[in-house]
Amino acid sequence: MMSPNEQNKLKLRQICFIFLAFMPVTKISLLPSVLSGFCEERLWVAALLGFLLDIGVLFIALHLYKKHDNCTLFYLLENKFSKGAAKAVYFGYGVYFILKAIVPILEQQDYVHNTLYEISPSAAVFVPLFIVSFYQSLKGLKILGRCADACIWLTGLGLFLVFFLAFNIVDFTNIFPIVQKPTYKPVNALFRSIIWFSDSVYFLLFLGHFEGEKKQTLKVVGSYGLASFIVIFFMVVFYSAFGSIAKTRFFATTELTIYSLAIANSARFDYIAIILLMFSQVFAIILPVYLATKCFERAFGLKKALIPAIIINLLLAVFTVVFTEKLFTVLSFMSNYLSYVFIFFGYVIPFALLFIPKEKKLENTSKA
Amino acid sequence: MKFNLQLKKNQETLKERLSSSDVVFFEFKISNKNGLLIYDDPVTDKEGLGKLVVAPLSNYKKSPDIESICKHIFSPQAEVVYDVDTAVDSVVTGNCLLLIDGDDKAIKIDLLKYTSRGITEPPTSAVVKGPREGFTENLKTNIGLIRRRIKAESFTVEKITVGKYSKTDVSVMYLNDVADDNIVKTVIDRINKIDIDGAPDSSYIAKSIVEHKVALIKQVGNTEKPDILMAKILEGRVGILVDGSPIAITVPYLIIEDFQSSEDYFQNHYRANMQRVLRFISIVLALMLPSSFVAAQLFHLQIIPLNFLLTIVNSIKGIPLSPSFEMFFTLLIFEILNEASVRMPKYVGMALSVVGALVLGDTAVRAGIVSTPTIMIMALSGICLYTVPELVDSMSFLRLMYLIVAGSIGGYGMVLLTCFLFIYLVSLENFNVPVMAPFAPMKAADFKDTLLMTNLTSMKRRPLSIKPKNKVRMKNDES
Repeated sequence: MMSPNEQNKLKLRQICFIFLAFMPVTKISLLPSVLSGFCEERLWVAALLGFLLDIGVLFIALHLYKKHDNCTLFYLLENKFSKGAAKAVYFGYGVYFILKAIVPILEQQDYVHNTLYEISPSAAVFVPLFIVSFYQSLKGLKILGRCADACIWLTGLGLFLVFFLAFNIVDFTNIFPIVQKPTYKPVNALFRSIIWFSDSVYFLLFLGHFEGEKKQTLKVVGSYGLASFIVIFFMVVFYSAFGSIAKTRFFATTELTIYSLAIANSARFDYIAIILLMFSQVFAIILPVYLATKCFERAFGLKKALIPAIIINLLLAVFTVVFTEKLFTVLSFMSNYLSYVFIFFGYVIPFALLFIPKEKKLENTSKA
Repeated sequence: MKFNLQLKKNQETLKERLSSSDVVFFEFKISNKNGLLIYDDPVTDKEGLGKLVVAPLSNYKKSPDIESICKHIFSPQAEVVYDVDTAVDSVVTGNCLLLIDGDDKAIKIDLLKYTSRGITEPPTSAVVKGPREGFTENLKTNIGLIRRRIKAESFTVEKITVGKYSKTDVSVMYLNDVADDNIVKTVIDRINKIDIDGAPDSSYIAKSIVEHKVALIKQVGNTEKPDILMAKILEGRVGILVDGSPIAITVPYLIIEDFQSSEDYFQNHYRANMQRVLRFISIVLALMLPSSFVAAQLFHLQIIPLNFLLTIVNSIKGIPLSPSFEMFFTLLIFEILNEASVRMPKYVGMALSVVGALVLGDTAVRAGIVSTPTIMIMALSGICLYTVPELVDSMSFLRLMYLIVAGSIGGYGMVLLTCFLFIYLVSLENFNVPVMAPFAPMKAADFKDTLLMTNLTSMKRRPLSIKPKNKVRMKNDES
């Protein structure tokens, strides 16, 4: 049996793979058409701005790692402020991660109904997702890291197939001109789509759960940068393929691959890519749900994640069933009213953590 | 309990304890004293007993005592025993016991001889190229087969007795300069802790030493071939042989082992790679083809290409069963035929094939009970499953699970079930080694021999996933 601490140990490689395998798959479905709706051919500029902010958060987290000797965020807040403050922040992050999970959940629900032509009742199809999520919530970060080890291949192969199948419909002239356009549009687009960004905040919760390695800043930032580049490249390909009608092309992966010559001549090879990416998407959904469980576990001082895992997954299951086919209503509500919440937890709090003074060495105190 | 100086009293005590009819009490004279030989008739080498024990003693002229006789008889495995319990124990485990009047000790002589079948090619791991020897039920023969292949000083065999009644000999074998000490210790400790009436087969030991007593997949490796066991021991694994079982156990076990065949290493590695990929694709097909077909028919008709859809529509016209029940029915028939073909006497086998293939298959299609694509898909799935025979048990069960999920939730349910199984598998560890290594957790150095393999000579290091003490297996490794 693994001890709880052992259960939550990650390798730095696995953190990099979590970014590479899980981050792009949540941003290549609906986000490209949403961004192109706001700023047309400069959708990738909006995404780039978002990722630059995310990388900034990563630098802050890595700085905290060095400055505070690889202690967990909870330990840091508890020692610098109070246990109550640490619990309050963790409670806030718990809510934030639940909100963060809603977008990919509903996105995948709609994606499955539209791409797999799923005709069975949504409750029957989607409630099992939360059984998987609940199961993972009890398993620990170590297992999630191992899943990332395997999903990196699925994401890689899936994306390769998507790019390969999209090749014959791409016209790169569609993305020009990049300059000579108002600059506020990408900024506005980023603000309205901020609910898709700030994945780098996961790293704050990984603090204290991995051993430092040589060139770790390069590895972590490099992997996030590479994942960002893949998403940006995907957006460029997407807009190049559809031009001004891109904003009406939801579910970008399906739209990009369905017009492939290979498909027209034989069969739907794109389903290989779709299914491969869907595996990684499931884990990308599970990740924020798992982190929410952990946050509530710490916020309420629980010894086991069982109760928060049951409650969170049950809540999300009910939410998913109630809001079936209401994806755009939920997205519109979230981007109109909850953007500030995402900015606060995704960027403001990490930035504020930068000003916490360096702690003095404490003897015999657990840093977990 | 100690022996008595009087032979008569010792004889009475032992007769009381060893009342079984197969135990022989043979009285004779050594020089001027009475002697008594006790042995279990069916398992004693009588020829050896005559030549090595009785013949030297018949010429014994001095006044006999146990210590001097022990040196006089021609057996390296003779030793003095001092109490009745040990003596009784040695007789029931197949040793011969010699007592002399006036001596409160006895000699135990190992003259064990079981009748066993010869060394043949195991039916489950036949190869075109490579060694054809297989293990037998005789532990000594099996250890000999390994010793013939590993002549190293560091090759260690530790004997443990398991079973309150069976007192089965279990041998744990490893290279003490290669295998991980913690794993060896854990294996030996766990075998020592087994409290069981008897162990008729190595599977009893396997089930007792694993961490997760209930698991969807097997947790120890097994083989019937000495060349495979040798290769695994050389990699740093621990081998376990059980008397009476032709199947050796190896730990720690990685799931990828089942996709590797001994033949892969004896042939061109390009061909071996092709075969490994084929085995992997076969398992995926075996597991998911029937369920995908059901899910596509029930929930995602639009994803089936039009020409194929027309074929399906034509063939399912008039079929009274739903796609999932139809597939389930066909799977049930297949499993019954499979079970019967294993248990039935060989001379009925041909009749079974005729009944299975023609009567059940062809007639069911003609009668309009099941469709041709369903029969074809189930047949393909069944054949594919046997490309990796080691996984048949767990995969047959998982195939059924996939079928149930596909019939009730559809394709997305299959994706979710795969994710669930994946989380389950990556969290499964035995002897501190994850069964999904080297994929999850990733050990890039071990990728040289996984689903794809490199040339044998470039595998300079032992698999790191199983934590060998000595990582280098080829001398010219400079790293």
